Amino acid sequence: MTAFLLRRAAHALTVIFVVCTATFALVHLAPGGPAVLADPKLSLEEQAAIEQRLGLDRPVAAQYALWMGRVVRGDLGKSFLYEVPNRRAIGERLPNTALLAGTALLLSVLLGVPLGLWSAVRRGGLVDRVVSGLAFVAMAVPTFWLAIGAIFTFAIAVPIFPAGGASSAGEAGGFMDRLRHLVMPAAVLAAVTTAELLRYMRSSAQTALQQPFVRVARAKGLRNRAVAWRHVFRTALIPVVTALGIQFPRLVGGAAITETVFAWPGLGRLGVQAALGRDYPLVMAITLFVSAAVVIVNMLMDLLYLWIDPRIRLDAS
Amino acid sequence: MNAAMVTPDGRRTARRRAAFAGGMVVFLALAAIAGPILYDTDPNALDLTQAAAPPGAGHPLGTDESGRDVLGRLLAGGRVSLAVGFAAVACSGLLGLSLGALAGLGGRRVDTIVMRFTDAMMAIPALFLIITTLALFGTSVPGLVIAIGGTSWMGLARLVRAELLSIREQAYVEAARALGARPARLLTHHALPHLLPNVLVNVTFGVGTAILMESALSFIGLGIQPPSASWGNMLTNAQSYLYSSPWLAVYPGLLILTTVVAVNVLGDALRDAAEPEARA
Repeated sequence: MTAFLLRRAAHALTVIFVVCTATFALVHLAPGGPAVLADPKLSLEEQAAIEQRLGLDRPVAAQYALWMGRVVRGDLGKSFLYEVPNRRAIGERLPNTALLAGTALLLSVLLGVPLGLWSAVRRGGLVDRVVSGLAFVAMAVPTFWLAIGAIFTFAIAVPIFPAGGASSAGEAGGFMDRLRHLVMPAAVLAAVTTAELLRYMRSSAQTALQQPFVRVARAKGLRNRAVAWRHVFRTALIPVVTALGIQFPRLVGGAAITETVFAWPGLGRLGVQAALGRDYPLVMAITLFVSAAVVIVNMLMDLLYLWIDPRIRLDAS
Repeated sequence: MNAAMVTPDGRRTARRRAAFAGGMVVFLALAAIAGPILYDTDPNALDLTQAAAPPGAGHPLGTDESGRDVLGRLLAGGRVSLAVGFAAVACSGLLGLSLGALAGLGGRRVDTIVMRFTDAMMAIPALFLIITTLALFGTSVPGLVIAIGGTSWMGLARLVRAELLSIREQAYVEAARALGARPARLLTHHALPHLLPNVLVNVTFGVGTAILMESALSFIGLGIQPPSASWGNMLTNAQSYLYSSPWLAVYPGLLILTTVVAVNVLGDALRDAAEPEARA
């Protein structure tokens, strides 16, 4: 088990290292080089001074070491647009994104996993056909169009939910108010992930249903429902957790789009605005931060394996 | 596996679906290529006296908030979306094939390095990497193609590597090697034909994903830049006029959806035709 965890941690570190290196390489390949990172509002002398302070006159290898050193210490630079340290800008928006992405993830798991299991057990039945059809469409629909459709339907035609934002003016912090703002973006964001998880669960449950232990359970006289939930469910869940790890980066990317449409004050929308405003340090800081966060969440998800897959625990003893 | 799925009948329906979806994709591509020639309007011509006109004479699908012809813009936008989609897939296909081949044939050390890099790229949210790249390098159509292609090759690379590693152990490859075939011949005559069906399936699904990514980027303002039309940026404007002219939001989204569904059905059908026993 320790070996398993160590391997996962090493993997996570590699990913973070690659992200840092890729970001560093991107900046140095960009037209104008790293000088684009100096504030355009400064005079030439001030820029030269900053370049010297940042070590831009030194060899690339030395600059790379310097950059890594700062990232490791958590120094993510300063935003042009907001004129605050990037770390603070990120910290302010993070709770909103965590709330949105977390709710969407929870929704997808709670919907996708049981529906996928049901579809596999009652294969070819009405639920299977309807749900599989919906999933197929959900994977082909652009998230932002779904969002626009939701806004038109539930905020304009039948105004039951607010069209955007995370809270109403003057009512900030009220639980019901926040919940009403959360419903549409979370549902839209969850659509694709739900469809993906459903398809994974359906196919892995189908495989599990062919296993000898299922036949044994049936032969024992267990009813279908007991077989599905007690025997198939947990076995089928293992590939789904892997799928969850693959889907999570996409979910976070989708959150950026969803946040933009719904004017949700999160990290993704901040990143999009920073990119549009050519606020390079902020875009890069957000990309670094989000990637690191995804890697850490994925690592935590790996702990789920320990719970689901007894073989890993058995390996340890 | 259910025996009924391996029958020639399963293969035939898969062929029929492949033909239908393929026809749809060809129709959309033809519409994008020939449409702007047959339907001769300037998609960027402003006419504020005709702003947000409903469908009618002169403008079969009406006009947008600046009086531009919606049908003309949809056709022009389709050209861009399909071109970027296919080009991005060509780019990611090339990267995926070569990196996968490198990992599968380059020995253990190369394999480890390439695969760790692949895993890392898979864990990074592609959208953020793309917007960083576009912010640093500026938005242009080639830049868009490279950014989308450069962040979507990982699945293919893994597939190619896995296939190559398993093919290497097959008896027929051993036989060919025993007969004195050189590595290059093994690759072109034995490995590639075996790889092709799966690569084709993977690449087909890639087209849908690339079109979705392009439209999303254009929608948030980092893809195709106005006044050039794309299905994504038409929806940016449509969202601002959702109260007064909601119909503007219908067609671009519907076209993206139709295109991606057609491409995905084609991919599904190709997969069933390639390996009918894997049918879900």
